[in-house]
Amino acid sequence: MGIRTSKFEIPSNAPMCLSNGPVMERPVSTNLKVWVALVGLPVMLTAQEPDSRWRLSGFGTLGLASNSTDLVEYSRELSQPKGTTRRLNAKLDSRLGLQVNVNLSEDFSFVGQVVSKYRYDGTFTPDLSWAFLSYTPTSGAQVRVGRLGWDVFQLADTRNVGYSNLWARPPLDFYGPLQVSSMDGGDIAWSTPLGEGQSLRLKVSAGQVWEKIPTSFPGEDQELKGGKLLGSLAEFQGENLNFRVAYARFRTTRDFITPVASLREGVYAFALLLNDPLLARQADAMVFKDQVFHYYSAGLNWQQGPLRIDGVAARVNSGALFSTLNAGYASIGYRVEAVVPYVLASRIATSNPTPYVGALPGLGPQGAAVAEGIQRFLTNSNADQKTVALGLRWDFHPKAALKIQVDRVSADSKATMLWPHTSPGWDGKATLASVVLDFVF
Amino acid sequence: MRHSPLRSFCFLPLLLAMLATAPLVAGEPVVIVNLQSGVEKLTHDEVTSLFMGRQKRLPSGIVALPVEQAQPVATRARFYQLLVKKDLPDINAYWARLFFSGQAQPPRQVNSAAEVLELVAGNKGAIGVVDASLVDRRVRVVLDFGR
Repeated sequence: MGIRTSKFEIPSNAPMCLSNGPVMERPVSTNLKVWVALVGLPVMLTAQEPDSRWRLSGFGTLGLASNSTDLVEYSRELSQPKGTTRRLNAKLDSRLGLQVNVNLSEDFSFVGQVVSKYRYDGTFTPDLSWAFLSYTPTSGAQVRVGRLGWDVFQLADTRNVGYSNLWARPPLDFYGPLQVSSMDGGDIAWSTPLGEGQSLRLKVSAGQVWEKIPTSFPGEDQELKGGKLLGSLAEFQGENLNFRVAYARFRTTRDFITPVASLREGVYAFALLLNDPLLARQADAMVFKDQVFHYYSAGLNWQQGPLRIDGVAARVNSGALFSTLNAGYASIGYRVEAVVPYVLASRIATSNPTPYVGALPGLGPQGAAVAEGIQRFLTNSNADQKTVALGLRWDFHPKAALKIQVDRVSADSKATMLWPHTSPGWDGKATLASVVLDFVF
Repeated sequence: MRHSPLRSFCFLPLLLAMLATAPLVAGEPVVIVNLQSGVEKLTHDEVTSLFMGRQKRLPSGIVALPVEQAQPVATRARFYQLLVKKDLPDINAYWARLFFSGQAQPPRQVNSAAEVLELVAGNKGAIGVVDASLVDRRVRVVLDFGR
């Protein structure tokens, strides 16, 4: 939810888009070097043990997934340039994170985390996902400055830590549109006991975006860097119940990638030519810079004995152009010894206005192309789909869990925000089968 | 609170019976702190907050160092059942979430009750859980889980 990134995606099929060609892979040697460095780091650190000031740990997922159709690619987040078809795909869920904790004093500590996963440029180049200085002034307060996860929704800042989640992956219909995952800034959290096993946690945060996301234009990644984030949340923790409400906002500071910006300028030119104010408003709706997105969410987690229930609902509004995005999910799991079978249902729907093309289609090939561009833009800005998933989590080891999951997606095939690529003739249905191994160390 | 070895011998048959069904009928776990911690008593809530990473200091203001006995696994499982009525896989997932989002660090893990006692005896902020029968004069009992 950061933004409905989808908008950026629209260009993918726009007339000026010549192809959905693959993103160039970086030379393997670059990745290798980074990995050698990362693997070397723990060795150096353990050499400095045994004092407990340093701690190196990590998490990871090995995943395999296959889709029931080749007509649509299933991706797990907007930052993935290609998705999963019928061919077995290990890129969808596989990832590895390394974290170093350094306790500088009783009150100060440093945390750094790098994560390697299939990212916007098609590589597994590790990104610095967290790097902050933490200060604990009182028993229940924490002040952090640096690079921090953006916890706009319940699990948003631990989406990469598969082991911490019940399911094979966070529900696509809910977390899929979130393209911002972390920020450079600070946050303050404060927790206080309320008695009888209950506590309240409040948090505010502010920062800037540093990430980018792929588009289907080769070499054209949508830059989000510099976008301004503000967030606040309140979380009630009871013996069995966790309830959380949050509000956040994101103001963009960058324009769309050039192909979309030029499409928009084309629409403006035609609006002037045709003296059509509605067409000019349509062009206004294709501005990305200085958009403000508001994120509202409420969610609960209930765990009692073997039963666990999750439910989260969210709404994203943007001040001017794009209208509302609603999303939610609900899950029920029941523990039987080390195994938790579960059901997970999720839903997303946007309510963008119908595209307006005026007299464009009658204005020769150029007008028709611009009209088609507008249509595609809106198609790729919209999402309207639901998923029902059945799965099992098996904690076969204290630090590892195996999950199998089957997702059945029913989508409006004309609302393609969450799909990196769709082919004509797709009926909006897809079934995804996955096996993932999550671990921590 | 402390049981002398002699007294234990008197109940040898009973002890053997208990061992046979261990660890379900192990002795009473108690929460212990350092003698210099400035803490005399803790409530169940306070212990929960410290072990679940929600509070970072003892009521006396000293930075807390929660210590847990990771082995045998049944001992750890029993502790979290008593503390928050949760199974170990849920506790492990909970800590993965908190730790990898930089909110808190899980309790220091050691592999025996003797190590728990040693750490608590040697660190002002340490807080741990051991069987009541193992408590010695180096540490102070602040909560009896059995009550």
